[in-house]
This record gives sequence, C-alpha cells and structure tokens, in this order.
Amino acid sequence: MTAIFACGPLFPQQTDPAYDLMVEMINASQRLNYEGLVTYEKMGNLKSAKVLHLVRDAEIFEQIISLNGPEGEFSSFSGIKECHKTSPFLGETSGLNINDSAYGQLKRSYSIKTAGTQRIAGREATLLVLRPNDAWRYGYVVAIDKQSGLMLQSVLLSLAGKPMERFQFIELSIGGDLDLMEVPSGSINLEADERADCKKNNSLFQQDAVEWQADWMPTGFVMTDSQLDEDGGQYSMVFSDGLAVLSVFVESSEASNKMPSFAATSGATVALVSKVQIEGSFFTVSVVGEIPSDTARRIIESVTRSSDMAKNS
Amino acid sequence: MSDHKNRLNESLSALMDSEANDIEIRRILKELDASDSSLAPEIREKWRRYHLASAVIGKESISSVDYSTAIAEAIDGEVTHKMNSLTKIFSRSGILAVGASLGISSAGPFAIAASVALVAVLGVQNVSSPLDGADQASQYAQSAHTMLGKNSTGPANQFPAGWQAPVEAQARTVSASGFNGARQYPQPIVEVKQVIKAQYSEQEVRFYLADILAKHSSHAALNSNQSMLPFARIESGETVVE
Repeated sequence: MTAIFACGPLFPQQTDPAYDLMVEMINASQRLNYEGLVTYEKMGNLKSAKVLHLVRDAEIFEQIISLNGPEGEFSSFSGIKECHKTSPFLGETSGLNINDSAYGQLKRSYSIKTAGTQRIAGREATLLVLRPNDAWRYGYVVAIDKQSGLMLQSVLLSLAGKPMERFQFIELSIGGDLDLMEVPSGSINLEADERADCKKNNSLFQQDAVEWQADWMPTGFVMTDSQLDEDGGQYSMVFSDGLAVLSVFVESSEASNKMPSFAATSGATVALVSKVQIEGSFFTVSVVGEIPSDTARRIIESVTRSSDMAKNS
Repeated sequence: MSDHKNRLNESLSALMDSEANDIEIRRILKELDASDSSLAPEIREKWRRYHLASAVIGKESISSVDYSTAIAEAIDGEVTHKMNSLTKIFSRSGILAVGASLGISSAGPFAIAASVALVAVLGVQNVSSPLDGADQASQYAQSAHTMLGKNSTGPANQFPAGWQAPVEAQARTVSASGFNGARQYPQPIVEVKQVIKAQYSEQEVRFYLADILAKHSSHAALNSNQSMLPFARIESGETVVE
C-alpha cells in the first residue's frame, strides 16, 4: 500500500509538449549509444571530460574521462533496467510504466515551460525551464536535442535563480559505429560490482534488513532504491523526483559512534551528516543530494525506524 | 563623504551576499578599525543587523558577536600561513577545501573565519526567495552572464583546473587576501562548513564523506535521468574509496 502511494496515482494522458519532451529525454538517456565531449562548470570553474555511453542488452556502460586537471576516469556497468524491475518498491506497481511515473513525478515537482531554441554542440536544441513548485528543490534549465531527445545542457539554478552548475555537451555523436562498438574492457571501476549486485541486495533487504524510513520528503520524491550494505550495516535509500536525486544513509550504531556531525557543500551538492537519537540510541544519518540544505535537514529529522513496511513485504 | 558611505554600504551588502572581493572586505575592516571614523558604529550595527536577520530567518541561534574583529584576526593570521593540520590534509588530498576545522579546538583564526562564513552562507541561502520565474529565460541568461563576468579575476574558463569559489564562502575570500589559497591548493571538492567538536579520526571522517559522495553519485547516475551529468560531478579524487 505504501509503495503504491509512493509511486503516485496515474496521471491521465495529457498533451503538454514540455512534459512530453522531458519524458522523451529520460527515455533517450537510457536508450542511445553516444559519445562526446562535455564541459562541467561549477562555481566559476570549468572542467572538461570525454564521455561514452553504450547500451548493450539490459546493461548500460558509462565512462567519463577527465580531460583537464588531475587525471581521472570513472566508469560503470549497470544493469539499470534489471534493477528497477526487481526493486521491491516499483515491483508492486506493475501497471505503471516508466513514462507515466516520470511524468507524474515531474508534474508534481516542477512547472515546465519551453523557452525557445538554442544551438548546442552544433545541434538544434529546445530549451526547457523547470521551475520548482516549492523551495525544497532547485530549478533547472535544460536543453534537449531536437533530433535525438538527448539532454545537451543542464543548468542547475539556486533558489535565488542563480546558476550553480552547468553541464553541457560541446561535441556529440550518436549511434552509427557506436551501436556496434565493443564495450571497452579493463576499465570497470569500483561501484560497478555494487550495482550489478542490486538484485541480490534487494532480496537480502526484503528478508531481514533493519529498515529505516524518512517520514518526510518533498512532494514528488519517491524511493527508487534501498539497500543494506552487507558488512558495514549501512542502510541506504535513494529518492528522486525525476530530476533531483538524494541519498539517505543510516549507519549502524557502532559506525555512528565514530562519526561527528558535519555539513559539507560542493557546488549544488550538499552532504549533511547528523547524529540523531532514535529509540534511545544515537545513529548517524546522512543526506547527500543536489538539494537545498534546509531540505536535507528536514529529511534527517524525519528519519525513523520502519516497522510496518517489513510486514508488508 | 557620502560617496564613501555608499561604497561602504555596497561593500557590506556584497559581503553579506558572499560576493565581496578583497578590496571590499578591507574597506569595511579599515573603516571599522579607524578610531576617528564616524561611520564605524553605524557600519558595525548594520553588519550585526544583517546577521541577526539571517539568523532569525534561518532559525540559527542569535549572537551579538562582532565579526569584524574575528575576520581581521583571520586575515592577520593567514599571512603567516597558519592552518590546522587537518585543513592541510584536506586541501592537499583534494577531497576537501580549506576552511574546515574538524574537531580541532586550536584551529585558530582560520576556523573563526570559517564560522563567519557559515553564518553568511546560511543567511544568504535562507533569505533568498524561491524562483519567481516571471521571465526565467532572461533571468537565466542574465545570471549566467554574471557568473562568468562578475568575478573580478576574469572569465571562468581562464581559471586553471582548480576551484575558485569567491561567491560561495567568505572564508575563501579572506584566504585569497592572505596567500591566494584558492588557486594555490589543488582541487578542493567540498567545503566543510560546520563541524561539531569531538575526538574523531580525521581520516575516517574524510573517508566517510568521500564514500557517501561516491555512492550518491552512483545513485544519481541511475536515477536522475540527466544522462551523464552525475558522473561529471564526481571529482577524480572522490572515487578513491578504501
């Protein structure tokens, strides 16, 4: 019941071109093979990187190689669709396809308007302004490639409307040889295993995990994933409103003792680590996300032990 | 004289908006320091009021502390490159920026400046209203222009790979006057703004933060629907997890 509610009611078919574009963008990001050069700008500094995105069967390979500053490479292999299917939360809502859910989430969270066209990476793009419906999340200006639906630019705006970060393609090629290209080997990074295992973790989580829940979330945020770290006892939950993503971590009481409370920010990303007294013990609860710090604070305050959800599943 | 007063007022609002440059900060501090200044009490009072307002809105505890002394001390202290050991580790490691005092009580002037920054940053964040969005496109264009042009040091893309955060935090602005720290220290990824004092292992805290940031980036990549943007947020240092 909880899960069905969390995923929200089905929205009747609407024909709002701005929302349709967003949904198209979401699909394109999971369907297309592309590579290109991107710039990422944060607090007045520019970073450039080479990206590669390949979809093979049910798996997505993503790689980003930093081109300036210290050398860095991050790559991952994720069985994204697989994971979503077996998620205990989305699993119960079989009637809901991804389009409807994304549509509903976006509708509740943002007012979306088209704002003309722009040329980005040599391609024609439609500009969309996403104004948040409340002050619990940031706004965005995104540019969507007219031809492919891929997001070519994303500018995250602070509550005051100032850009906090800007992600933009400067060169992009889609499909073609990339559809046949072999996935580069030997470059798989750490997080990969963790993600490939999400099926296993989900079943573990259903059986015997100590469960936590956030009693408060801004409208539109739904849980998209949750798992219990086998060894560390760290329980993590992921929430998204279709664009903004936030992670909630609850540490075991042992680990909690070692951690102070602190707050950190980096561009639009905030990390709030806080010691919370729950049922007489102290737990370290952390919220990380591209959200205002007030939002993070309020979420932390609302975290409680969940008892009835375990029974349901 | 009234010109001077206007400039002071402008500098003060810039400071409160975390947008003051060195000259502006010095201008205010100099005025406050001058024994014969007729404006000093007024400025001091105004500054205090600004903080009070931010504190009330942000539900922070209200303090009647005069920050000007602390900032002046911070600037003096920095000339001698005083940094607590953790700050050094963090800035060298590239995981965290300067401006942190993680449970080290003898953090000194640097920490004072950082705590002032905290108040200012929180204040700004809370005062700002949600987007009114009447003409989002033009607002966006305008602010985008500001982002590139306003920092007195030049266009953003002329900076080296390192970060510069003149807008975000006062502590950084103060540092810049002392030893040009923002550019001298490589790649700060995160600014720690507030830490409760205790006896915790610095390294564990650092690892923990890096760990949750990396995990979050990974979550975001799966859930944000914004193509590869979440990966771009990851700094190369950040993926180094135990």
